[in-house]
Amino acid sequence: MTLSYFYCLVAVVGFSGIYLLLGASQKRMADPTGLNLVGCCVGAGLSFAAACPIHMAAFPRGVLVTGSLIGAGAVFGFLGIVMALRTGIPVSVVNTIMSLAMVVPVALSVVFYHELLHVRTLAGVILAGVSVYLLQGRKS
Amino acid sequence: MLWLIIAYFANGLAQFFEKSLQAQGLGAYVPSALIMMYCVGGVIGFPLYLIFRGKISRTELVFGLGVGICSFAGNFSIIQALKYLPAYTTFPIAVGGAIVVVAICSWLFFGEHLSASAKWGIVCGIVAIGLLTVG
Repeated sequence: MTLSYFYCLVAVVGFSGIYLLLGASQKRMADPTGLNLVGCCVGAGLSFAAACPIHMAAFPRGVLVTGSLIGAGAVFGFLGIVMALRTGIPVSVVNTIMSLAMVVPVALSVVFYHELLHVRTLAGVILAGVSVYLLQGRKS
Repeated sequence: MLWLIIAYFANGLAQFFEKSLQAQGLGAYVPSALIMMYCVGGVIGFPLYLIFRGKISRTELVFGLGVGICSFAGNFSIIQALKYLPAYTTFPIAVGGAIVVVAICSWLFFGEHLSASAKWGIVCGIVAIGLLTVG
């Protein structure tokens, strides 16, 4: 359990790094589709390195399907963000709504995997959503 | 607005499938799942790159390298965390925590102005992480 919180901490550092790098890349007018492609190649390379030595047994059907669905979801999410920005929706609105997408896995896990929310955790989930909403407008 | 709705549900479903991987008992295959994730991302991302006439210069290479490393670390860790922690703890901590960290870093290191509501956002984020950790 403690190790899981350590992994959460690493995830926080990783995702913070992504947000900071994307912010800095926007200031340098980096192309988002090029950035996405390079990021995917680097991620794939690191995943291959972590999976070594690679055997066909490491790719059962469930992993092939679920891994592909995660990748497709991430790319279509990226496409949606790019297209939303191109249609003129402000970045602050896009960022806020995308950050609140965490409601989807939480809700679906409650429905499909019967995860029970206690009062304290429910308050924590709601406060996290409020925090994201308040923080996205920090520049205004 | 339709694109934003697509992005919202696509990203949310991608996170749910990370939870689903552990729920199916496939937690031992995280690197394999990430290979599939990034390969599918690249296969769908390449036509998008061509359609939008994207470019890969030194800037995209440097930032893409950083984003790829951080993305791998974040996704690998979040799937591992989901092995023992429920989704309602893992995602708010990882997503909310990252936004709080970015706000604090931007304020401390980049001299970004924090509005009163943003300061309340940081307080809410810290309390939320505390509640989710002990809850």
